[in-house]
Amino acid sequence: MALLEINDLIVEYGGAVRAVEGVSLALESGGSLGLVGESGCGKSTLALATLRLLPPAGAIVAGTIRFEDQDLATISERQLRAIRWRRASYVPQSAQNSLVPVHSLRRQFLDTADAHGMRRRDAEQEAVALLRRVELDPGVLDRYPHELSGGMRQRAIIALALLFDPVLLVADEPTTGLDVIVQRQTVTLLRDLRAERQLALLFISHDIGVVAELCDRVAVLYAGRVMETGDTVQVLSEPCHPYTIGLRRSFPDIRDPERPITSIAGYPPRLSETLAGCAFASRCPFAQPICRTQAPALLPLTNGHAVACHFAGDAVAMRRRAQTPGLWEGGLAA
Amino acid sequence: MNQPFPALEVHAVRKHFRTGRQVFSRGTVVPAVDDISFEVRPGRVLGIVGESGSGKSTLANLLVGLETLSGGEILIDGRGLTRRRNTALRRDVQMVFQDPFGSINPRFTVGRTVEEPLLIHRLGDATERRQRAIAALEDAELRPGTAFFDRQPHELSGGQRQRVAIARAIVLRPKLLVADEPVSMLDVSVRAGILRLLRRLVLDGGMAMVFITHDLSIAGSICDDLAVMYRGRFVEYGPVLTVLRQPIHPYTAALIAAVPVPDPTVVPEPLPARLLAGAGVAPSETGCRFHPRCGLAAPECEASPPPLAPILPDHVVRNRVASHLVACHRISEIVDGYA
Repeated sequence: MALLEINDLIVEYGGAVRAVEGVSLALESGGSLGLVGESGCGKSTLALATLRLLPPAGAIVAGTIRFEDQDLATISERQLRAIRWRRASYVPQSAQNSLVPVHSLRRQFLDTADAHGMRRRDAEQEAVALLRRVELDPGVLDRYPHELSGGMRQRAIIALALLFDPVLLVADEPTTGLDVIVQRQTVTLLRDLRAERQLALLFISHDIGVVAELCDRVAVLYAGRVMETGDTVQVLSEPCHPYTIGLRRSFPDIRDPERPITSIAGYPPRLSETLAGCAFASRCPFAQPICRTQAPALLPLTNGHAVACHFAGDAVAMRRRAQTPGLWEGGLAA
Repeated sequence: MNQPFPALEVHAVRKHFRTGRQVFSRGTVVPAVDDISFEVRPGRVLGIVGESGSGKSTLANLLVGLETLSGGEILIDGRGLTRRRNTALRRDVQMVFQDPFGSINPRFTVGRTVEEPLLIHRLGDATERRQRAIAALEDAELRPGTAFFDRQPHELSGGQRQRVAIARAIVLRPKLLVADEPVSMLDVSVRAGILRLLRRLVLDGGMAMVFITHDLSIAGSICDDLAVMYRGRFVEYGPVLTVLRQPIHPYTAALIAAVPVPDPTVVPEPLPARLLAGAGVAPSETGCRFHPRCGLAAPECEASPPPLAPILPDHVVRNRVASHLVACHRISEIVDGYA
């Protein structure tokens, strides 16, 4: 059984905006799943909802989040506290600013230990070992966040998140805003930590390059829905959903600097409105009448590869046609 | 054919900041931009790539007069950009900023935003200003311009806002456009459109553009030439495809190797330990700024600064061009490795 299994999850903000609309995902023990998508696609909301860390306006309206035989969507706050940080940890989006600026790192490690039930002496020992592991001098325990570089802060946060040796790490854009060299260093660290600790990783990113480096599986989100999910190699090398095909073409590749990148005309739908058909239909160059009236279900195409598109069977032809110049721009300024 | 006169000439430009007393230092002079020279001709795009702290944004600010020079000279269309306010000259240099949510007044309509530079420079009457603003909006592909004129910024997407910022920058028909990370806050699916727009405006309008970016992978689709900046200096300069495909400077090579590739079958190479460990080591005052992080560093690299110079003629290998400049003492060893 999967370590984490999300089923038909619906998350709303203010009872009106559906940020996550019927998402189902699974993450195996020790596995890695990348959630990719653009701003407003619901990837951060999904990450927050997974550990029930949504802001007050957000609410899980329906669905289940099975994690180690419990449904995180319904258990009490008290039960949740026993899971957060101890079994499942979270590295937030603005990780660089999420340390307390006026406390030394030691204090932040010890406060975390106190809050979740670890003896101070053990916590101190563990902190030293973890900092060494993330290639920081344990001397940083007496430093304050502003004395560290962005990359060092990020590694300190990862060490802090691992204080209780959790089985799941949810990381929301942990490398965004870092310089490329530091980003590569952080990604390599996360890769190694996963392997060493059998750590499962739910990794949120807008950058399919980073997901390609780090995750075995990927889910592509659009307007709060999973458009395509599967093995990272399969999804990125032979995308079957038009949105994935377009997104892939929007990404530059340093190995091929002359390849023109394309943009996708139009905008995502408003999440406060009910959609009749496919969420991507208004921007999809392959859309047919059925796409505007009937929402496609996320259906398995091959083993472990599922696509929410009425025409997923024609993916080979769509990938070929996707190369037509001007097809994606459609003359609209996005 | 005669080469057009450069729209921008930068001669030995320096900008030094004095930092105050801090926890670990007693206040030092930091050379954010240190002896940089280059030129950009009309219709050309020079990309300047670097990491945070490289000085690329300081350089951009110097070009538009938002910072004063500590030394050197900047010429716009042959005329000097001096400390004195020179309104006519400022009209010739415009800037597009990174954050289209922060760089546009949320209380102004789109039309007012684009008319603002005309008002500041007291150009035209109300009718004329409106016409020029609408034309600029249409140039930025916000069509029909009349429809966008009365809209409020909050009604627009990030990409559309950036187009408004671009319309505002081109409404004065500048000679030089400085774009500081203009797509890094936009979704990937709209970036290509903005890059293509900038490219077209540069070509159609005969403008020169300096394009500041931290993202090497987009440089190929917008720039003609690329300069790589490290700790205030150019370490490599050349035609963009040459620099990206056959980088010479060890820092350029490291930057390129670190860029994530959207191909999961590629296993990322581990970065050299010295590159990472040396990041916090201050370089010697006299030598190459990169030597503490460089796997090829030799004693001379600590002793004297390598000049930014063309790859030597006896090292010219296939596809090498004269305009490829590198600041590295170990250039011969690296070029021999390619041959």
